[in-house]
Amino acid sequence: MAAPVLRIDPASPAPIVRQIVDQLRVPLVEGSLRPGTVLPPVRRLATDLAVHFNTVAEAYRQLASEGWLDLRQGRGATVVEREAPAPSRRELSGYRQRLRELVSQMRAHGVPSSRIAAELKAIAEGIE
Amino acid sequence: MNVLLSIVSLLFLFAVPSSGGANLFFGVPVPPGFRSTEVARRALRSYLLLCAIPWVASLLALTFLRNLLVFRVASQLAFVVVAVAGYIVQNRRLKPYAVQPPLVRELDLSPPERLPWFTWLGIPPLLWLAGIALCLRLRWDRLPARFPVYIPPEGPEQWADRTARWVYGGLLLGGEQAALLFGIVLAVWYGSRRSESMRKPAMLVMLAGEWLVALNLGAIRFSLATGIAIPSLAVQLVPLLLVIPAVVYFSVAFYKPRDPLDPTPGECWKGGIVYYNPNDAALFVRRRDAIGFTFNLANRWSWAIFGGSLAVLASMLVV
Repeated sequence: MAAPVLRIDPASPAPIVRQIVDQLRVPLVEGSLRPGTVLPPVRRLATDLAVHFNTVAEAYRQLASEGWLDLRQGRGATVVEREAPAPSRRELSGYRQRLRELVSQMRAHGVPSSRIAAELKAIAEGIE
Repeated sequence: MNVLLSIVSLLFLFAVPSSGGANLFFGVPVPPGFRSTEVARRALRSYLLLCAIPWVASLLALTFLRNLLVFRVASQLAFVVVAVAGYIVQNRRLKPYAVQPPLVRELDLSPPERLPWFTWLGIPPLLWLAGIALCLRLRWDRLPARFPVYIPPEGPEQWADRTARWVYGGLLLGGEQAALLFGIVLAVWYGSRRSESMRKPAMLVMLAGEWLVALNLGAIRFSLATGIAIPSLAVQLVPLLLVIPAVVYFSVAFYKPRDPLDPTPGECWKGGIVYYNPNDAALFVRRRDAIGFTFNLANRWSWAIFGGSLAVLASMLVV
């Protein structure tokens, strides 16, 4: 299986920490980064991405707080088995809002509803 | 000889504006075809003229004031300072025409590469110097009271007494320089980007330099310790046989079709020569003014390497 790819754009309005977290979360959810996988060291990743150490460290900390990574002392950032928590009503409402915004944006760019539904279905099933 | 060196240095400075690669001109990323524009030609003319004037002055100083060391050194120094200043001026003038390379970075999360096997070639020179020092210590009483410390091809020239300073000084100096170069080899591996294709060639050049230093500074003490004379020609030629192929390999690798320009932000390059970016974790980045790497001066390890280099220079003065 090909290694997941990170794509960082400093010109993007999204902060770099957010870009790293969001992009790392995808292979974590999809399972291409399996439990036990050790992620690149903070220094290595920061050097390769041309960002500050603290940026990568913060991204790893955020993923650890979500339960994806183990940052125990003396070890690298290791992917751990994670029980999916039951989302609260408030969280579900937040996701629905974000999806509505995204779908509206896609509709505004001319993507038909059937295509949007098919894309969402394919993504959701692919992640499962 | 001095005139020849002067001519070589002038040719080198003439080549500098374009030596960063096809898409760099005076350290500024430029669009294809920019070099044939009037702006580029004017910049090059100004720079060459600026270099040529102090060069002629330094040549005159070398010819007519050869006995006045101060004038000779000052003229050479002025030549280099003016050339660097000219480069910086043209870099600033051309900045408005710069094309910012895309800053987007893509990186696969494959496991980090292992340290290349040839890195360990940096250990034997250190062991060689340490071994000679140990051998000298064990055979101290049998060492001659006076021994040559510098052997030019035509025979011994400078002699020294059997004191700790003269017996071990050269080895200490060699050990410091070799350790510094080996440290830089490791720093290049760990402190430059994985996508940087010049990493391994640069490491090989540094390792060849380390062998050169160790063989040169250890040869006389080796003869002193073991009684086995190493021909002076071998002392000078063998290390060069290591360094020249490494430099050629590095240059060939550099002028192969290049990777896309390292997407370092243009505003972090000062005068096209100095890179200072506190938001970049890299210690070494590809130079924009010439072949090779330069430090990211915002990385504190760069100052540690400068400190090490200064310590070696100070040792040279003391030893």
